[in-house]
Amino acid sequence: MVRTKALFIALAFVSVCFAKDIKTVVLTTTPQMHCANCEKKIKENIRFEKGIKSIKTNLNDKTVTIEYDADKTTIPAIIEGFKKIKYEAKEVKTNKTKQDK
Amino acid sequence: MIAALLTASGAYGQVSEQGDSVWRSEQLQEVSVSAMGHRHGKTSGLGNTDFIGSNELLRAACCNLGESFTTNPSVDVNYADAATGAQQIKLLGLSGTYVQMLTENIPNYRGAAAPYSLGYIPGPWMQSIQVSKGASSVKNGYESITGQINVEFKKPQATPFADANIYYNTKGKLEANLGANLHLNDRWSTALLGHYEILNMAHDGNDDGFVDMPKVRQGQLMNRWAYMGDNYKFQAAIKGLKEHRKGGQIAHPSPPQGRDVQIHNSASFSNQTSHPSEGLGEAPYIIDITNERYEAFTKNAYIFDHEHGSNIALILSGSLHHQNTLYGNKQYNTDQRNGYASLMFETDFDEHHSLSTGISLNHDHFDFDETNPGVYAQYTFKVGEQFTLMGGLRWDHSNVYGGFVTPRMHLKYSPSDNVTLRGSIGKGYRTNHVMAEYNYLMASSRQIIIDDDLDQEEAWNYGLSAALSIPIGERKLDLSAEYYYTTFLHQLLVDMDSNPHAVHFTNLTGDSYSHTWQAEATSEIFDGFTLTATYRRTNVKSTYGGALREKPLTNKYKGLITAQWKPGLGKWQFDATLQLNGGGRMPDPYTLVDGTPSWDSRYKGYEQLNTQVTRFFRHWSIYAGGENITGRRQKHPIIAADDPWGSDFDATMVWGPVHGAIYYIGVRLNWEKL
Repeated sequence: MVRTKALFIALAFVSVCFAKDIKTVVLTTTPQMHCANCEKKIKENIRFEKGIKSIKTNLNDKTVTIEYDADKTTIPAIIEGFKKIKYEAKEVKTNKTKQDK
Repeated sequence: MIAALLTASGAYGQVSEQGDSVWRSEQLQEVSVSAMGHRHGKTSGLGNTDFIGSNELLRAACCNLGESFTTNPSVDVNYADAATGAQQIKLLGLSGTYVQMLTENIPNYRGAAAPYSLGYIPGPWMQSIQVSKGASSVKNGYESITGQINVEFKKPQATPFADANIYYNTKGKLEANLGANLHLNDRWSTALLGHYEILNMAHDGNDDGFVDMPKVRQGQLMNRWAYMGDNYKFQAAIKGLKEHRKGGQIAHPSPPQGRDVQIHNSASFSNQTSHPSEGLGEAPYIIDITNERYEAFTKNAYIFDHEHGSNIALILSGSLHHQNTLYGNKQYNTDQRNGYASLMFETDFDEHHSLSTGISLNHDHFDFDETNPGVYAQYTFKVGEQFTLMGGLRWDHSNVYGGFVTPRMHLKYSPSDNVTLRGSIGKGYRTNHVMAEYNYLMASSRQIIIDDDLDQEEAWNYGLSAALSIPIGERKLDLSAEYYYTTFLHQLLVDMDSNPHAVHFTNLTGDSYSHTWQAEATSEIFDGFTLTATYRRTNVKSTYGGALREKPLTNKYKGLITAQWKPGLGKWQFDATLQLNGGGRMPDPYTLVDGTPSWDSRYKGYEQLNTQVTRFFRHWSIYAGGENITGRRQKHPIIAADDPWGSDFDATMVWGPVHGAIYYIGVRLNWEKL
């Protein structure tokens, strides 16, 4: 019983140590995505940035939702990644949605 | 309307289609394929067309055009024989000679180039392939009977790119490709594509003394130019190819001297028989083929009314092909020249009615000279995306066969977004150049008998197809079914049955037809995993020696299952394709001295399994895979391999793969301007 508890605690400790800190950020881009080609360009290039876990694009509200490993990258680094492919990216703050034309 | 077309075509690939949309080269080949993940796209256009785009071409090694059809259920690719490495395709159960080959929508690879065309188009040069089944538009001429394959190469006016590719396989074949374009200013651009392949090892897996695949050395270079003005667009290209193949019993160091060689020149071949040389029992049987091909084309379009898309276009193309072949002691040399010109006028009267009309001139200097002027008119009636009707009529005059008419009609009906019904009816014609197109049959001791006065081939093709898209939750299931019927009024019959020691090229007397049914289902089963399953059944019969019989060396069915798994962000890609090819009839065998038949009269079905793994990085990718992993092969494709100078030798009785499993690895470098 003690052994099982110890094992459990060890497992919890290890999982905390190795737990990935997955965060989400929503970005809008300049120029805006206006067609499937833009979505494709963003998805195909940003995926090679370090620490990116998933990329979802939304043509309706022109946003890109990215899940990333906070241990491997940061929001400014991701924005730099967008710069590489000639997009200016801005984080969308949760309380207000940017109404871009 | 041009704007709509440009947007639609821009949506699928990184290439601006501006140059080609002006031609509106093929309304049959309009494309609207979603950027990522369409298995192999069916186009939304008028014709029943499979679109093989750059994503599809990455699923297999796709070193050349022949290998690019691995995941396509409609096109069968087989070796024509066990000696030359020439590959043939079959569409609708019929020989690839009935498929019109086009590059950049210009007819190409005719005559001597036809048996090798699948190896003349390097994979990395291609931007896309369109496979159209059934009668195609009259714009490209009268030569398509079962369908049309059009290859688009990477274009200079595309987004600036540079790529390279290196490939190596376990048979020792090495390939290298390079491609890049340059925008000189906002109008002019140029591109250079290069290819080199070498296979210098001799493998004899079945120990019959003959190398399984010939040694090959091939180099190709293509230079393209484009000028994209507002009202005037121009494209030009030149291409050169040099290739040397050597096969047969090449384990021996040098060919014998003083052999009795029979020379068949393109001008003089007629009813000559070949005799095995005497007194040369030990001399190795060598096959030596050299091909040299030069091509050039130019396309000019002048748009004088953008609103109605009214434009006039002039296409000029020419080719020179020099081929020397040696099969044991039989030799065939040919010099072929072709010139083609086409002047087209196209316009949209309004959103419902459009017209395309033009004149063309084709001159072939093959084994005989043929000059064909022609004129066509094609009218299209369209009601949005729901209904399209296209009718075309063409009249050509051949200095050999006289005048002939080619009617073609296409119908597309989409009662809703999810359902599309298509129908087509059309006629097609072909002039035969027997020795140029079939000289690989000399890799045998069969007597070659070619009748005088061979007819122009003439056939009708009827087709019906239906496509249905069923939404299932967030995804969809795409289903399609089709039926094609081809019937020949005149045909070149390649008769290997009447005399198993000869091949007789004669005019068809009697019926000859093909029925093909095909059904396909494809769906993204779960995130990143797409599965396609297809089944095709063919019933091809011809009249041999007065009797209606199953066509030999034609598979009765084909099943194809292909899957792709691209998890998460798609940095890893896993592809697998399983083909189940049905059996068929062999040409009639003869009885050997011991009473047994020379070969089985039927061959059984066989499978082909290919897999590949690809890892993508930002500017490069690495891939590794296997072809024919189960190692399925025809055990003894060469009859009487122990006595190639004897009268039983035949390397053309090939129904299956002639090599075992091949494993390969490659690297692709790709840069594109953002």
